[in-house]
Amino acid sequence: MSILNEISELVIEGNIEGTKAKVELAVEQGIGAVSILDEGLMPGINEIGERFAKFEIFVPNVLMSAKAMNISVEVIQPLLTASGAKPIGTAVIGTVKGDLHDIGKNLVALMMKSSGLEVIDLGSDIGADKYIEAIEKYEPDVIGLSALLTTTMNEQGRIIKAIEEKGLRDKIKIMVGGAPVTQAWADKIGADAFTADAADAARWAKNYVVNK
Amino acid sequence: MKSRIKYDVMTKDELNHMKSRMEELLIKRGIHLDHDEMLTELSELGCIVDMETKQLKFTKELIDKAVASVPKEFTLYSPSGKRDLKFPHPEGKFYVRTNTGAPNYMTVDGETHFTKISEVNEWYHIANQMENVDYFTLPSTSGEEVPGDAVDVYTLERALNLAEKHIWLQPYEGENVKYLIDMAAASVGGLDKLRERPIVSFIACSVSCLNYKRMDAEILYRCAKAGLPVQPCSLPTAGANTPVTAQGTAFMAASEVFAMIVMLQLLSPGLPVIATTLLFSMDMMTTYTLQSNTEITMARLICMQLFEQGYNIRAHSYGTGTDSLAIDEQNMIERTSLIHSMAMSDASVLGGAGQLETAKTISPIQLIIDNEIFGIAQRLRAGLEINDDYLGWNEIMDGVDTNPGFIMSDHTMKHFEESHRPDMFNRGGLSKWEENGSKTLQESAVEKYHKLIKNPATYSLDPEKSAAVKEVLKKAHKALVKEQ
Ligand code: B12
Repeated sequence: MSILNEISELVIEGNIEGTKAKVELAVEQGIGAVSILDEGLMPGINEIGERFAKFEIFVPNVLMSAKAMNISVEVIQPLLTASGAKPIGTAVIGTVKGDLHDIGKNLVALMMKSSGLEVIDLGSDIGADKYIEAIEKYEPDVIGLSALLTTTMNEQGRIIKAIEEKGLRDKIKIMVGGAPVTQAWADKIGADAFTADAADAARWAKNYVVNK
Repeated sequence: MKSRIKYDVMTKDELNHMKSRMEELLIKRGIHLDHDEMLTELSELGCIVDMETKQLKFTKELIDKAVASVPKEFTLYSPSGKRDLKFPHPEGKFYVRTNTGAPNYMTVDGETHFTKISEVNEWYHIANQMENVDYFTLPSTSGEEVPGDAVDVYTLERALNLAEKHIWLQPYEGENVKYLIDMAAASVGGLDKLRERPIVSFIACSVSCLNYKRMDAEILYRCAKAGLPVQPCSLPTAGANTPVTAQGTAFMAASEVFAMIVMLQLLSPGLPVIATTLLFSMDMMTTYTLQSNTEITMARLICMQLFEQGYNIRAHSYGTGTDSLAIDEQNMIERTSLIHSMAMSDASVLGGAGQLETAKTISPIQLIIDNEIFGIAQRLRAGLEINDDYLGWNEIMDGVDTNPGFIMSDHTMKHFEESHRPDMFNRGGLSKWEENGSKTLQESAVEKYHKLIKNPATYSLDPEKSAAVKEVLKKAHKALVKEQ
């Protein structure tokens, strides 16, 4: 097995230390950072994504693999930056004002990170002003609004309106989610996407930034 | 009849281990409480408080003192006076409550949408007539029907007008708590009367692990001051915000609830409390929240034993519910296997009547079916006593079986009405069943629904009090609703 295949396997196993050591070895052997990423780490994490989508593995498996990947990316980051590679995109995510349910939002953030996006997590109880501030500061591709209560889902609509009024709407895609949220609701408030779970949220965001 | 059959899921040693670890956790790690007044008062009462970080630790002495002041007997009153609930249950039964907080309503026709205020009316009308449901909660009315900032006060206004049984209240915002209390007081003629005969009790929830946000601290504080009973809750999600093991999740939920009980007793010794652990888990593949995971059922049993046996504190958990989205086979398997376990626990209250979709939907049809299920469960809880009368000893010895047979014997005459008979179950043969339209249980429940809905209201609040309640609603609206 080539060292790049071994890296893929280690990512699939979720072997954090093992992946990192193997990546360091590959760097020492003079293998290019872009090859390590594209032919070692990425095939591994992609395989994990597919297995997860087919309900063959559990969320902690995905998260361990993503961690193995992310720690290894840090090793090659200076080389990647030198060769001009950057994260595939940026997402800003939060739970809306009045709502403190953050488990789902945290999972969405984790899964997005795992699929290669840079994620800025604003936390919970986040109103329009904070989203706007973050959009101006981080220039994200995607923003995510989580709401778990029928009483706070209205806030999703309010935030979208405020972003429109600020003239920032065209710069970003807005994703909404949370237990009471549906596609119909997303359409009603003018969101760009709704997904029922974190894995689909990450897939949608990745797909969007990659094909943008 | 006293209850007889009880599952002990923990050995004595395990129970003692849980107790000592739980106390150690509150003494050594402590809690985070977002409420300055309460922190100050608890500090004066001897808790170790850091006002800056809002961390609070208890001492063993305070814990013991608090546990000793939990009332062993108390009553949750009903607005109608017809369904007052004495704790512990005089017959060893448990009390049953409806589901709280579900945003969706599944109508009799099977359509599901956010709950309308007209459906809140329907819900109480049906629930009043459910003989095996002892107290009520607030359906979660949609923010499109009533102002989103005040769904709890608007829904309580309906409840106070229509509900004949005790109401367990779940506030949605910290500022709303005061109005909820005022409204309940208005319905009985004042705060003193409410304190004397509390027709409402409150929910306060922790945020796992060991955090108490402003709103919930406010609920605890206000109830302690007003002398209103609290059923403090923990709703952990195993694997997400508490340990993935059922044991670890039971432990954390129980510790969080225990901390609330200790605080309440320190602030208001003798306040009625019911330890309410409402455990969930996360499916580790789909991340969907589950109510009906098998291990979590056992975790609920652990919590019931811990509070009831370990501290002689009344305990409350889910007795029914499902992760299914429909009234289907998964639903019935999940809710009946849960209730059969829970009925055999030490629980004083079992909840969730009428819910499906992991506490996100309520259905009047499900409520009517649950009424049957709880009837069976109460009968199981009561158990069977062994003595010569129940054995039929004399008649067996006299050879009654040969002449004239048991059908008309004295022993049969004495006992034949005792056996539990679910109202809607098929109890005839094939031809009778076909003659009656080959109805499934769900179809019978729909038929029953149509009968119940036509019955006149069993209760309505006296008009003067109703007007007083309306006045509080108006004030609350003014104070709470931001987009007028
Ligand atoms: C755990 C829980 C809590 C915990 C939250 C802990 C925490 N750190 O988050 C606590 C106890 C604190 C809590 C408090 C309350 N809760 Co609560 N809670 C729940 C519970 C049981 C599970 C929620 C959860 O974490 N699910 C697990 C995650 C993984 O699922 P999820 O959030 O849906 O997320 C997934 C998807 O929706 C999606 N997703 C989520 N966000 C996003 C965002 C984007 C952009 C996208 C694309 C996708 C996406 O991906 C996620 C992962 O796959 C639900 C019941 C239920 N069945 O959902 C009630 C529930 C949501 N709560 C409810 C209520 C009423 C409350 C309270 C008002 C009760 C109270 N008085 O304390 C408070 C409100 C506090 C507040 N202001 O926010 C009601 C909702 C009622 C309504 N009208 O909508 C529910 C339905 C339960 C009930 N029957 O009472 N709650």
